[in-house]
Amino acid sequence: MEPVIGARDLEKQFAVRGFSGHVVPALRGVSLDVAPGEFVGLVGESGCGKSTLSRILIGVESATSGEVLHEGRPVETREEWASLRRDVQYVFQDPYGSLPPRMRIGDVLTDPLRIHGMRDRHERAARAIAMLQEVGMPASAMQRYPSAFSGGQRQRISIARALVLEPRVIICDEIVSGLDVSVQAQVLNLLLDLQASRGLGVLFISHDLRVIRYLCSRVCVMYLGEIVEEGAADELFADPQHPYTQGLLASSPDRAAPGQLAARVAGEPPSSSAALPACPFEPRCPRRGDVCAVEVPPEIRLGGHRALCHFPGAPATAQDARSPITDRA
Amino acid sequence: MTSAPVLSVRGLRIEFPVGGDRLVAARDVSFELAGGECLAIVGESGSGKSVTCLGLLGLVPGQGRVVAGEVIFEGDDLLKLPFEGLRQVRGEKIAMIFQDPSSALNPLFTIERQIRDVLDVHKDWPAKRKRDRILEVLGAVGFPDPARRMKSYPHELSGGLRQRVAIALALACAPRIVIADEATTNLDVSVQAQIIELLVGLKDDLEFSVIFVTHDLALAQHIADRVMVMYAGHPVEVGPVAEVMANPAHPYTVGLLGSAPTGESHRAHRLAAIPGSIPDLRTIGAAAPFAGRCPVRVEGICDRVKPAWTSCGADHLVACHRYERDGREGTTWNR
Repeated sequence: MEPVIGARDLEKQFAVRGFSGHVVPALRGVSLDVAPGEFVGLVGESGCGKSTLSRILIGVESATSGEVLHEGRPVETREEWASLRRDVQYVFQDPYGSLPPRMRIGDVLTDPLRIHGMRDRHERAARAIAMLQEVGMPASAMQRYPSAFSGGQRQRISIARALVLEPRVIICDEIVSGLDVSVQAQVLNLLLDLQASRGLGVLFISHDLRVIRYLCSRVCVMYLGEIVEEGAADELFADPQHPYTQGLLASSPDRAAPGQLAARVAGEPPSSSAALPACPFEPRCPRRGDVCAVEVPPEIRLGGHRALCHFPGAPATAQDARSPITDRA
Repeated sequence: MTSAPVLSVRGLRIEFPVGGDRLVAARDVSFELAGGECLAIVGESGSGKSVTCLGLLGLVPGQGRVVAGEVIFEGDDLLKLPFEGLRQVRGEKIAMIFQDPSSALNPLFTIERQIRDVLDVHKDWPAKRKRDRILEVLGAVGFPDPARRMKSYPHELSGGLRQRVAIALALACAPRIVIADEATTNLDVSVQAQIIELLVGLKDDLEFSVIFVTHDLALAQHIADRVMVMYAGHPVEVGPVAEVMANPAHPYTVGLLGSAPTGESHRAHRLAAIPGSIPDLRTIGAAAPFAGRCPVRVEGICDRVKPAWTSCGADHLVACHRYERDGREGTTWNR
């Protein structure tokens, strides 16, 4: 099916205030597609550019270069952005900050309908109530304020707000990271139900591999503004190619046997303003060779699965797992 | 790990006045911590895990008060010690690592100065010895190039390094107990794995005991020997971590394990979420704490009577009416 939303070679540079000419590259050539009914996971650590990418996709931020595609066509004019926003909605991370405290839930849900041209007040209310029930909230919530609800309930309301315009794709930016596990599972299952009932597509941004694995059929792994590995979830999790993906998996608490959590990725992402080697992961990589610092890694393909790496393949052995920090110092 | 307990907590109860009401944030919390042992306290927000730890050291914030219980450490009840006595214990014998290293560190002082402050309070050492100790603990936590970089300020360090400094601060006086309150929660997974590896190594080398507070049971099994699961201010299950993970007895523990993603796709295994959300602590009263959300509550009993502890395996206790009646068959509701 044709992707609802896509990105082609997006680049984004932020200027550093007070240092004219200094720029921080937040995105370095990112391409991505989300089709209807598809759950795409975008995983990476803090500062890797996940949120910048998602903000560019809905036009809150503009890219330095590259294109945002809506149904395969580049989005440029104001009208094109407006039409994209009907099809693509956004759910924010913080269930407390993203609902206006002085607005009744009813107004929160009907406002988007009004803005997008639904004139009849009763029709708007009926649509909002139907949406609330679909996310498992009672109609009585319409009269109440956000403060009356818990974090999990607010996140349901945020999802209802995003869905009330019947978008085909929603972008969920870390929407469960502030929730308790027992409530998190409710929200994840709600998204899966909506996928089944409406054919909803989701771009699900998270730092938690366990959640991504649970929800998504396709996964993009991001590191310092670049998608370093992408593929069908089953393939990517069974046979990760990029050492960063392998490291993330080894660091994920559920994967390792008890007491065997492996800190395979040493160090931390460098400051974003520092100059990067040809492969940005080189300083932390347990498998790096001489070529990595000087030559941009090639894209390797393996079935429906691609990675950017000079030395893709099996996870690092014990011998490889030396600490790059200590052997550099 | 087999020695006599270094800490024993009995019947701890912490209350906060809210309006005219009293909110019981921790109720009847009892546990023992052996030398060199790591006990994980696991629970969701509002379960009372953090306030319990603060209560041990008389650090309950605001209007909160420890109203009952005792905390026996080295023969003294910490709750009865005068302020000066408690001050001797805090930071020297029982140290804490907080969740957010950027607010645990003072932005105005160098790393060196902040660690020296701890030593100045507790140790009557010459300056040279203090300096050596600072270098020693920074080295122990894997802080690169300590002699030079201990002159840095917190903002010059990454999140992972700040957490290493916070650990160094806690270890400065060679404490017997380290309380780590969600110490890895804000870190990226790759850094979290590094910090867990570091803590496990230090605990084994330096032989201190750890109370590891977390909301992540899967993470707890990588560091803890035993785990205490809390819900709405009440401990509901205690046991060896592997045993609790493999054979959970309380319906809440069963639900917590069943609702955490395990690294499988939803097509292979759909998560069983616990219905509802965390209750208002003021409304629990005499009921079993989980009764309001429990899919297997015993009608007429769970909403009236608090369950007592029942043994459900070697060194494994659970507080649940359903378990008392029907055993594990009865509490494994999501199978």
